[in-house]
Amino acid sequence: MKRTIAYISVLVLALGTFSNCKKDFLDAKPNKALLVPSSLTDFQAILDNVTVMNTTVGLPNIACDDFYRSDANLVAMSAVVNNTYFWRENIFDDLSSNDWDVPYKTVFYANVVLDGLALVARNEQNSAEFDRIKGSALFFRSMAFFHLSQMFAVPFEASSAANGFGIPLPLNSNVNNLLGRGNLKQTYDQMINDFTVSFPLLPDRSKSTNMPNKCAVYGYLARIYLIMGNIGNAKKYAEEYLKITDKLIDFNTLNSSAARPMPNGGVANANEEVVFALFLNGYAYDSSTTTFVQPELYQLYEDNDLRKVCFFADRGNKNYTFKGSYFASTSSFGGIATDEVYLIKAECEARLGQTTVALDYLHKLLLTRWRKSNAGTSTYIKKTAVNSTEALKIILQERRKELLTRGLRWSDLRRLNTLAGAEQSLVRNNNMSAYILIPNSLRYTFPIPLNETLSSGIQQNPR
Amino acid sequence: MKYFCILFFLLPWCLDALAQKVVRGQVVSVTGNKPLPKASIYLEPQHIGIPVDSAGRFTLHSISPKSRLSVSHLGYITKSILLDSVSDTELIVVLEEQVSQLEQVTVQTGYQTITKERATGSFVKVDNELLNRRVSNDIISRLQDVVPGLTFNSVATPVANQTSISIRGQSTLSSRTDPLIIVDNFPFEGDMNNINPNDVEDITILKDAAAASIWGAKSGNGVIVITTKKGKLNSGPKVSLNANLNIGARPDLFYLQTISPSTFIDIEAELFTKGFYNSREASVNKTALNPVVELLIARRDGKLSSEVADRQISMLRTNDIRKDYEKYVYQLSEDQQYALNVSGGSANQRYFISAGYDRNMPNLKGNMFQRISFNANNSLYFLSNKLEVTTSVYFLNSNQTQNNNQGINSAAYSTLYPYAQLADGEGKALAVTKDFRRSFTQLAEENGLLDWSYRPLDEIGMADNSSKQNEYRINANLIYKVIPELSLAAYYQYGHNNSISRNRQDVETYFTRNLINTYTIASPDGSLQRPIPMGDILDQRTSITTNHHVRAIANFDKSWSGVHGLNAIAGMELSDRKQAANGYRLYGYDGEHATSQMVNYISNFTSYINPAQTTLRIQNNDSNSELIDRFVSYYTNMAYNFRGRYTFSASARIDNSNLFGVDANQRGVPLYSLGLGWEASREDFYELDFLPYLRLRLTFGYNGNVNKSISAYTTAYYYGANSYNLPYASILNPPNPELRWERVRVGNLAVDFRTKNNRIEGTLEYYRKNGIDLIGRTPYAPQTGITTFVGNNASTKGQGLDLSLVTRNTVGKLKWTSNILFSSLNEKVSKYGDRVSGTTGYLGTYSITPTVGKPIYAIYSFESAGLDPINGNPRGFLNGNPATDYGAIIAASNAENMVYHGSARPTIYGALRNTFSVGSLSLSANISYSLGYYFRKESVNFDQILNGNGGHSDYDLRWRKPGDEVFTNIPSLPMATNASRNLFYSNSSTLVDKGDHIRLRDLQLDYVFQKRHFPNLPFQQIRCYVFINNIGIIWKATDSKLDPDYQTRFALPPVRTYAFGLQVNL
Repeated sequence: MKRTIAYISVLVLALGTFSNCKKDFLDAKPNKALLVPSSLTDFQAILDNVTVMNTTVGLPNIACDDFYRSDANLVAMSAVVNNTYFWRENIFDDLSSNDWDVPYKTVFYANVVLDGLALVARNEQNSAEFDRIKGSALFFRSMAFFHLSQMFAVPFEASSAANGFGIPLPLNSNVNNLLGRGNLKQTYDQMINDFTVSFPLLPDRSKSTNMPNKCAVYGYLARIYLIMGNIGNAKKYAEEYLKITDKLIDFNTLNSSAARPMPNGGVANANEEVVFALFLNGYAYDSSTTTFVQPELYQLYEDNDLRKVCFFADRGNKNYTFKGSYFASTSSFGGIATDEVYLIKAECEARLGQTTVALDYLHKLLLTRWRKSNAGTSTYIKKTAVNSTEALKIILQERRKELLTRGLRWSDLRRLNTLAGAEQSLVRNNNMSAYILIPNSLRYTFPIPLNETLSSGIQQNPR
Repeated sequence: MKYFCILFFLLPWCLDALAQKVVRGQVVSVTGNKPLPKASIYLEPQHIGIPVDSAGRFTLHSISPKSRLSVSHLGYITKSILLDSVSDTELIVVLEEQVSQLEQVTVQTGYQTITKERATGSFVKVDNELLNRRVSNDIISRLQDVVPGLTFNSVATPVANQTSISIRGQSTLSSRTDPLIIVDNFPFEGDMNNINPNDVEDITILKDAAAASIWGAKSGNGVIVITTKKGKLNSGPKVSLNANLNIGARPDLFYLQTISPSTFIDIEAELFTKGFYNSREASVNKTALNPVVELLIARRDGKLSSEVADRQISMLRTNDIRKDYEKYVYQLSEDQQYALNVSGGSANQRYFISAGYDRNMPNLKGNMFQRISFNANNSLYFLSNKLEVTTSVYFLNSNQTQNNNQGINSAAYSTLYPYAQLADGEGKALAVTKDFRRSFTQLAEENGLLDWSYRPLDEIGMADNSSKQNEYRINANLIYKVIPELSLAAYYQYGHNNSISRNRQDVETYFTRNLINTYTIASPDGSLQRPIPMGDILDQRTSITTNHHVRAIANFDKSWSGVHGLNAIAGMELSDRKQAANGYRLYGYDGEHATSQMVNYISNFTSYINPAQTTLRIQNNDSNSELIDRFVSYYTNMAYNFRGRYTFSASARIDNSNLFGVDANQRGVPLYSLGLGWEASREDFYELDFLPYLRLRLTFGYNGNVNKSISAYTTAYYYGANSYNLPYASILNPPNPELRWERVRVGNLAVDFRTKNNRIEGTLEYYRKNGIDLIGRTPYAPQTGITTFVGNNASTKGQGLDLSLVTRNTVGKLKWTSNILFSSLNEKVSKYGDRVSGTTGYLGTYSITPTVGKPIYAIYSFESAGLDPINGNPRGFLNGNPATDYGAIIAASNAENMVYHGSARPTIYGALRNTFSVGSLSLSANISYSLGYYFRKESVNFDQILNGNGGHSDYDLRWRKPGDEVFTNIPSLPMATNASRNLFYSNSSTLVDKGDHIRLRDLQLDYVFQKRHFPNLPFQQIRCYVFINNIGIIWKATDSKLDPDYQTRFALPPVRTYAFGLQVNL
């Protein structure tokens, strides 16, 4: 029996020794063709997937009041476009929506990269690249959260942010974790936190506009703080941005008769205003030759304003369509560009009572938008205002005129509704009946697609 | 390697020792003191064979006092005599005759041998005699109709190295469906043709959890344990030779119902009148036009008088390609098989050596399969039989020639028109129309391009397409008995397979000529440039698979005064399988000098045929792949027996693999089983005289199944460049740390019984088999970044009965035995998240159609509302009304509102084998049946007809005028092609029928000449046998003329074969 025990001990010992090397043995990749992203190059390649990383929600452009379609022309549009256009209770008839799926895919890709980085050792040789990739992933994740929040979370109000519904915030790539909606404060805190962590890791500007950079982060932080009503911070980040770049396109250099007069911000650095390129999901709406700019908006552009000819194509019968995308194509641009930052800076100054500074910044922007005389002097006459309220009104109008189709109008409407005196009702006419979106309507928050609520059980937005 | 072999064979004979004494003796039988001249005598332990004369006498010189004599004879009990006790002079060895007794049936699990009467699990043993009843060159087909619950499925395209067998249904949706095959202790994952059936001793099928869960994550589809032949201790050398010839009929090419060549020509003529070919005539791709169309064009253009044209056309009407095919492409198949083996053993050594040769000439002329196999195993016993050392070598070489790719199921056949003529009166190959119009190719040839004509029969002769395999497996096993109750063992196997497939397409073959011509650049001055160089095109693919299996196992077996018995094993196992493959193509290959020429893979070329096509690239056929499959497993199995009546068994296994990822391995959930056995007939209170044996068994447990197609890791795919000219990647597979193997939960309740005198013997088993954690697709919350999740989220539920009965109907001079197998199976998908995409996803016959509450393979159809009496259009239902808006009907259809007919696979199946024997003659016939399933009949595809491509002969029975709908279900010929109408009709309920049928599978006749009946016979025994396979259908539920299981040209019914064989034992 003693011998038996001895034999068994030897066997056990042998097995024990073996199990030490077992991990390596079982770590072999089952198929060499399988690419398991694990190097910084792999992560960069994932972040360079423009169709996932640089694409976000597109329906807000349809829900806002800048464009319209005739009854007859609406028929040609999809059900989702029609539902959005009339702010119907149900938007996503076919269960799913790219406006929900794509930004979350962006988040997922960013999380794959962040989880993967945790397994890569950061050292002297790779630290610069490592940091840039980490900062980029954090940026992309927050960027996607931001655009989701503007559609699917209720409009921000500091007083009720702890109660309102936020959006699910996946922070790792494990798809088995299903999250609830949390509250609005958590959503905004997460975005601000990630953006704040990311900017020290990023370069001032990036070699191509699909890649995140400090300017892009400042742009987003300025946007978010403006929406939150934190004017001080919005101004601060707008200024940080303008320290790095304040170059604007002089519209006098553009060929206004071209089909697409704008330089393309979606390749390398052709458009000097664009620091971060972001495509908005296309619904063949903005780009349609039968989606016309609202006449009252068009009327706001004065004749010497080059945007009148650079942004719009005449379709006859006093109908005008938009041709001024910063992608120089039918795709809508929703990224960060310097013109927006000027307007944020101007708005902040006005809200802080600095009428002169505010109008100075507006002036700097509009000088590049207006026609120059042959002598090279601008036809633009600097706007004046008796007080900051009037200045603010001018600035907001210029903001709408400058930033149309950028997906920002919807956020602005949500934001302005919460400010006394700035709220407004939107009206759509169809078949002789009028549809009205009243200020602070629940319809300012999109419903969550059914494939999400059915699968994860998260709460639906009341409409 | 060479030295190893020499050593291997010499080892047993190197053990001679010095000898000292003289003994004379004689071997006689106990009855009548008859001398036994055929006795074999060995001096042990030296193991020296002693010659015996015709009177059974033998003489021994100089023997050591400790030697023993081992005396054996066929039919007698072996005797061992210690020579120490022998005084001197005459030694009479009296052998007692062996009394035939009921042999205890033992089954193999691949880990241990257990007696069936002590097992709790569901084991089916197929013994050597039953395996040899059928004649085939593979082993797996010999399991057909002899194992309850085991079926051979009809599959669209068989998966390489898989058998398409299922045991008790298929408890998986997307993972491996094949049972695990074990050959001599270890999993065998190669080509099943690489096992010579003549080397197989027996097969055990493990069906339930208690039987199979010792095999863990790979056991979900059941396990087939193949045990090869071994020598026996203390038996003289036995030599056995088996030879057979198996002749197969030519396949019936008229089996498939297609329109006659004459009808085909009529259709072409009509299409021509309608102007259908006008666009093809002007085709920029110079698309070929069949001869009749060309004749009609020539007549129209006045190049041929209508008289001549008509005469030529009516001559073409008499052609039928199937006649040419029967004559020139097909032949009788002829398979030859030879197998020789020698086996034997002494008191401390046993061996088995075999060689086999197979040569198959299949029905397709020009193809061939050859296999040579060698097998040698040798066991030695040391340290007073405490240590057993076994070494074995298995070598196989096979060579498959695939020169005839013109079969009726080939792509080449599908482009031929039914009136094509393959050869002239003298059998000389003729050109047929293919790809391009003759007017174009003629002009091209005049301009210096290569001959562009296509002669199918020449292609067979010129082909040089073969695949070769060299495979060897080396086993080394050590078993050491520490104490009588405990043994420790180590097993090792190294396997190596080297496969090379080589397809040299000669420069004279159409493929090569066509490719060279297509890329040829003709300069304005008439000179030609050939980007694809003149010469052969060689495609070669090499695949090397190696595997290592190592096993350590401890075996404890003890009985306490016959009351308690305990048998337990535990151990670990490691396996490592690597498969590396690479392939390449050489252009301009010169076989004589083995040289090739470079080609430009990068540039675009302009097609010679259609100059508008400017972006042709030369195909690069280089490939490379490497797969690694590793497992580390721990297992244990124990059985406790009380008073021989009660058996309790338990087993557990943990598998860790490189497929699942670290997390799944760390969780290490074991797959386990529990079992109970109760032999009621041993109880004191048991009084059923007519049923002397009754045993109940109950088991429960889990088996696993592996899916190699998905990964626990995040996987990505690289793309060239995004809009910024940067390479970018897409994520294909999200990380799934919770990925785990699929599990099959099996419960099995069984009764084994035997009536008095063994007249009826049988086993009835009821089982439930639920697939859980199956890999399936399910819609997923998009907040995770994915909208469809492929993971462990589907399940199936199944239950069934397996009955096997042996009835010995007469036992006198004429013995009549019936073996009855009956299986029923009801299997349904119980959880599946995603819908099959689109309506058409439900219309496949061989593809899975997972819908909750329905079988995995189900037949759905569009409900037919009969033919429209006005125009003969097929009608379906839309919103409850007969309708012909096919697009809308198809769009509105889904799994809920389509007609669900039933399972596409038999739900009741089995076989009845009757064996009659008188003396040495026996005759057996196997009848098999498959019931409770549906199939889709083929019918005419009108789009194909309207495109001039012919089709099913239902065309002749179509609706032509109002009133026809009374007697035909076949729609009218539409005015124009209409894909939706076709899709609707070919999947409408009128074309679904019951597949139930009974077929006479085979007949076997054998006669055994025994030496004892024919004393002049130079051998111990000769067995002559005749085996006829695939005899035909006896009954079928459908009135379709075709076999329900063989409906398309891709699956012609197997031909009837006649085998004749001899088995000689020396």
